[in-house]
Amino acid sequence: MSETLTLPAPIITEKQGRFSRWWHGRSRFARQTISLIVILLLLAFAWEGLKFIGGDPWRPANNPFGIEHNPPFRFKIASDLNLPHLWKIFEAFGRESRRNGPPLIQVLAGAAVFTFREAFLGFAIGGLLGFSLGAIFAHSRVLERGFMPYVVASQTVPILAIAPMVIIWLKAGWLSVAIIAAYLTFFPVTINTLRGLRSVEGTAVELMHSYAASTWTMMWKLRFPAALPLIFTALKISATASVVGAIIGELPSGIRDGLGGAILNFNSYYISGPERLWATILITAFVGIFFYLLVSLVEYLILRNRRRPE
Amino acid sequence: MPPTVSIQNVSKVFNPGETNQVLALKEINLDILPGEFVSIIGPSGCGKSTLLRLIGDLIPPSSGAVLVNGKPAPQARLDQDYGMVFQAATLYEWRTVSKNVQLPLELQSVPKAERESRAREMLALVELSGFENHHPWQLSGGMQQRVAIARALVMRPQLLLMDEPFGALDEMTRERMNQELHTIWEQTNKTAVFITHSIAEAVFLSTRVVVMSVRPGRITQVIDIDLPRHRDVDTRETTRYFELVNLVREALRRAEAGL
Amino acid sequence: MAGQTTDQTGFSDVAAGVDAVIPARKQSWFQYYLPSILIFIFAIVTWELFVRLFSIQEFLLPAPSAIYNSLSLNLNQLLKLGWFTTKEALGGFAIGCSLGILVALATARWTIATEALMPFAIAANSVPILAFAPILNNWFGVDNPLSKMAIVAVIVFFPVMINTVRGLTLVDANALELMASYAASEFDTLFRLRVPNALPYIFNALKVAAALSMIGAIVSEYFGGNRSALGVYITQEAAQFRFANAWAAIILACIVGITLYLIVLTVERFAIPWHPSVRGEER
Repeated sequence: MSETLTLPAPIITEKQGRFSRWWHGRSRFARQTISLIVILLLLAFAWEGLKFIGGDPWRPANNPFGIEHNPPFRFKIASDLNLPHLWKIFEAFGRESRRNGPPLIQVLAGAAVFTFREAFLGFAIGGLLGFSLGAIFAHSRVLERGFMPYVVASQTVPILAIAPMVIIWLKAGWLSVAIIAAYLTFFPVTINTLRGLRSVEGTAVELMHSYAASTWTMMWKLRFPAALPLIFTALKISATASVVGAIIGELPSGIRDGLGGAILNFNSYYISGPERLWATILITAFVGIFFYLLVSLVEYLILRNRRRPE
Repeated sequence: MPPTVSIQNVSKVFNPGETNQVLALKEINLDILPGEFVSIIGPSGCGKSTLLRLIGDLIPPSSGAVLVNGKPAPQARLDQDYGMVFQAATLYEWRTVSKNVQLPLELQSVPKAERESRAREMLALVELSGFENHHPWQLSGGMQQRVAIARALVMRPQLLLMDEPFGALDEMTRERMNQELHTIWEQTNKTAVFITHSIAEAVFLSTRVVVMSVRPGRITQVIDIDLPRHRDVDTRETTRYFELVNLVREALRRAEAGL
Repeated sequence: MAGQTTDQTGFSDVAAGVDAVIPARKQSWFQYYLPSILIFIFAIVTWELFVRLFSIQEFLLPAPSAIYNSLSLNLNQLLKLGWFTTKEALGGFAIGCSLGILVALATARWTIATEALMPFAIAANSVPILAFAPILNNWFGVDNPLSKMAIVAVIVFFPVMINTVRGLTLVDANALELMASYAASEFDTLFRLRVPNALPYIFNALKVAAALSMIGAIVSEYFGGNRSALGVYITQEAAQFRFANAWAAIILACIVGITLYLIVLTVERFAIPWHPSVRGEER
């Protein structure tokens, strides 16, 4: 349905190879899945390749021949401390997180759920706040002119610096973390709501006027639906931002149940087990991507019958 | 005299071998002689734009041959034997009017001084002298399209390919542009292939009108326009003009009915 | 799933939106910003009065006057710290943006490469990059500004790359046909059509990147950094509840961030004067 990233022109494609023809015969979903897997494999290959050339000596466990691989170079970044073997990272999920503790995967899954809850709450608060601000600005130029510079400037404030104060005001807990996440979330929504609501002009508005529609009807029957695609664009950015916000919010608050806490925790034990920090980062990445996909799915369900705006 | 454009038994299939396979053009034969002005008219989707792109070698034919100036179309494109005008003016908004007209010359590495003088000359021809340093957005739709024509003429090609160049203009502007295009054609002795939806426009400008039908696109009738070579406002009021307009209209109706 | 509904970050959309909602000024500069200036004065006065009347303690909310005093008292030190962090931000900005543009140029050449790379880039873009800060600290050394530059570079890389690819590929079909009709080489098509077409997208991404780079540098310093870095100072002062000092430093960071943004904006005005967003009202 969307052609945004394929070349839009009938450029000369005479010399299509067999691969190219096969490739374009696949569905878009298949193509993207295949390429994602290929890229991940390439990354894994590069990772282990780097270690093979310049990592620490590697001796496969329990090998009867006593084989040991001695890489020709020693790159600092490729040492076992700085770039653990991939399988070590995956193994770490199954190992206990601390002595006699539950396995790491269980701890991280719990932390992921915890952080996702904070992020989701922050996303909801920020989304509502962002939408309200955008709607208010759309109806009043004076308020827009009065507040917009500060809305923009607010995003140059490093929230990490505000987080400790929010935590003092609201006590450490997931509400305060959610508020911090909301601070990162509201901005894109405000901008795109305003732009989307304003984008309706001319004959569409005149048509509604001809029906003697009230401002309220105009808003919900015309402006809001027209703004939806832009609002979703913003919500997708906000989804990622809210996860970042939740993690940052956890850092100075002393909350240790989430991913932010896990990062701090495993960072301090980095020397004894770097793969646990890497495993935490993997889970963090997963949460970010998951939230993005979730919003994309909702967007797809709501906007699937529309032509893409471009 | 060899034809400027020779289309020999050309068919075009899009997406061959797939579920959405379309036979866009079927066994087209058409010769266009030097100095002719040929309009191609037909219902939407009859493949007239596709035909124009085949002549310009922007897409390859599935079968058959296209010759331009006696050469295969790809060679003619490399030799810059034609200039092209689209429905959208397609000016680059980051270039001034003069720079837009110079674009094809730049691509052929023509020296700067010559580029500028030739651009000035072409802009004078389309009556846009003095607008050299304007940007496209500062011009009206009609003026933008005149820049596009100047850009197509600047390589001094023998052949002009035009894809509904005035389709987006209002009726008054369109008639004025028709007159201007006619004057340019008369003065420069070019050969022109002109795609249009407008019967009036086709009759006014052409020496021949080619009528096409839909699914598959093929030529159903070729009508000679035997109006005098020079045409002006009065031409549109002659009886012969009306007769020819009716003739084309009839032919189009038959084409749409699939006769 | 993501691919069906979207293949863009939208960062550019939001950056473009900031320009669109701050419309071309018909009135004088002063008239236009009068409401916001009034709000600023009102807010500062209320804040100050609030803190004084209720004798709010500094660890809850520092008064504007206290922040100002801290700023003027520590200005020399703050400027030194600020410059250190600004260098990290600028370094990361330069590395990340140039890599982003170069990778985009390299992959936009092949439709398949672009198509293949985009889902990955979009996924990577929704990863909280910040989580990598401790790793990069270990790689390059906590004290080494390079570790912060690396984080900033990774943060800005993806939006810049994705937007550049969009700009290079979302080219008007007729414009490409025109180039083909001139038998233009791929090189000519790239530099005379695709790159100019991409410039507005790139500038939108650069504006986002400018604001992100300063924030990125400060936040990454939370995981440990050089003692002469602004982020480390903010973290320390906040941990001791000396919020006036922390806020003075934050204001400095904001000013740097806004300045970087305005610099990119100014360069944009000169680089693409033809673009509707720069021209103002018409679009």
